[in-house]
Amino acid sequence: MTEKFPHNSIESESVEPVAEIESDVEKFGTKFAVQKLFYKLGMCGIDTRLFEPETSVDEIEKTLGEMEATDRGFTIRFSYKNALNLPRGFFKTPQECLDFIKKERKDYAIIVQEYTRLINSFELYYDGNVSYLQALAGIWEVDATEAPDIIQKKDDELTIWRFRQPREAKLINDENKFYKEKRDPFTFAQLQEFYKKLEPYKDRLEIVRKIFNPLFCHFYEDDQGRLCFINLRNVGGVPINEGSPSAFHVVKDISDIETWDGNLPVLFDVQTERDNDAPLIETIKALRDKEIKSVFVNYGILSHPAILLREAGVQVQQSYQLYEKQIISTQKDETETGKKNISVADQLEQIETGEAYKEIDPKVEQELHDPHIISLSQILEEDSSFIGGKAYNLGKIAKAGFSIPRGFVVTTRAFKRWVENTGKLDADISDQISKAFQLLRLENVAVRSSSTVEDLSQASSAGVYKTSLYFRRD
Amino acid sequence: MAIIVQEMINARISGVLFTCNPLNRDTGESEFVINATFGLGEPLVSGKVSGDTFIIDKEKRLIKESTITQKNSMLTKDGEVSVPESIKSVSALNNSQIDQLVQIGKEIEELFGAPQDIEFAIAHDKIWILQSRSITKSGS
Repeated sequence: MTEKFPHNSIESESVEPVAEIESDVEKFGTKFAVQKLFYKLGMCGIDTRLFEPETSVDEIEKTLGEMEATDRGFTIRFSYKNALNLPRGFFKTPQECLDFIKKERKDYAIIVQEYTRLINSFELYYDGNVSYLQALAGIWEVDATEAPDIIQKKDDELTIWRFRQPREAKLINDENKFYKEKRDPFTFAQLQEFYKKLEPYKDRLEIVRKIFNPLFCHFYEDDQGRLCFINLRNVGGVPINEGSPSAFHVVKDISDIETWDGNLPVLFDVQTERDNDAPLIETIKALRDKEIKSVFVNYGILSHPAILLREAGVQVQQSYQLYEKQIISTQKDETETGKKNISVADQLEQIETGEAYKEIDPKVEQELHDPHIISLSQILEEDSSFIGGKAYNLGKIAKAGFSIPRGFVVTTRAFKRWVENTGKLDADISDQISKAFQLLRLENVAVRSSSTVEDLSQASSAGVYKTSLYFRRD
Repeated sequence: MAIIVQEMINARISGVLFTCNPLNRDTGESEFVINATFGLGEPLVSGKVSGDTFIIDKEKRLIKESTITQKNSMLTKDGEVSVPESIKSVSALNNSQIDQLVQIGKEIEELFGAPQDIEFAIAHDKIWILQSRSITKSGS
């Protein structure tokens, strides 16, 4: 029997998914059933045709002829129960497709899609409470151990962990051959855009989650910005996404487990091959034997190794070693696309710093050294007991060639006279201070105390040490 | 007591650099921690804002971890103002500034012969050192 799928997707309300999907999974396999569900929900994005095992070759031929595709060609996948690694192919013409189908179809269900250029891949996890959208440039194979970018949505907060390094994206060329291309890291703005792209699919994803909870689906974006949902995956338990320590014991293979000291958190970094899980599984077994119950990973918390770890009862957290984090409150919608192209440097110009800093003639500063007033750049070793630790350190830093803001220190000798005069400044000191202001061309100043050992023993004066800013000269 | 009178730097970016990581006993001595925000450093130093945090591997001079927060307000010489919308979530420091700070941190640490707690400000395309003090072993 042929089920004719409508060319245009049906409205989501008309889908009665639960009963249908169960029988589809049984009859045609998960891959087909899921693709059909996405198709019916209008989530395929690209031209997609689905054929049940009984569909006649004539019918398939007719349908292929109707496809808008494309001078680029078609991709064909088969689905049968839970079978993996069924033949799949890429073909330029409908005739080539037909030949392949006739030769390989057995009793498989068939998925034919227009060939499209995949740009970015995504995985979405949602359990009704927290959602993670993971993004990766290029193709995301099931065995990918690349670290994806992660966008977490919880309550009204979007937390983005941005992968900081360029990636070698895996892509397919027009001859259907894999190649690698260097891609710059995504920006925070781009990652936020990715999340926004899911907005129109919200209700439909909820429908899918009613059947498969927690939801864990795979989709990609093509060069025309279309999203195509293609797969559901097994999550293997709930991912955790907490912070991470900065020091790890790194496990690259089974021998690294032997050398674990029992204290440092484990960074599980075993790389996998698509066709060979054995080293991965061996290492996970060894983890369990050592009773290591929780590990960090650099690759995605939804990656294949992470899933295997969770299935083995090992908790998995993202290490964020190579990430930069940003938290965005989503309560108010901040769209600022118009400003996006302005560089950060330009934006920083908006922060006023006033007129250019005036350099002072070193000769002038040399004059500023007497028992009461000392320019910060003129502090000598023997001044140390009269100027306090803070000023002494600043003097030393200035002498070593670092930039410090120009200024002077009023010594403890002057301070003592001020205290003895019950808070009245002697005229000579007052004149010296005015002169220092003039010579150093000080305008807005920060006034801070610089305490000596003597002061430190007097706890009661603690409040005096507080730095006060913004004294205007006068 | 002595008094320091110094020209105000109307900082575009301010921050604190620790030439050791007080949060991590195991790796503390091999790491620098930088905390930075837009505007003057007072809100950061007083703990009013958390700013951006960078943990840097001293030897390799690599950023091991960075946390960029949303910086809504900043202190300027005219008081507290809003950070321009488009840079709120931008890192307060770029890689070259971090690199310069690491160099400065290493040199000042050497100068005083002990791990340092350094306050800095960036304005007029220059990194200004506002203060540096030694961190005691028990953590400062």
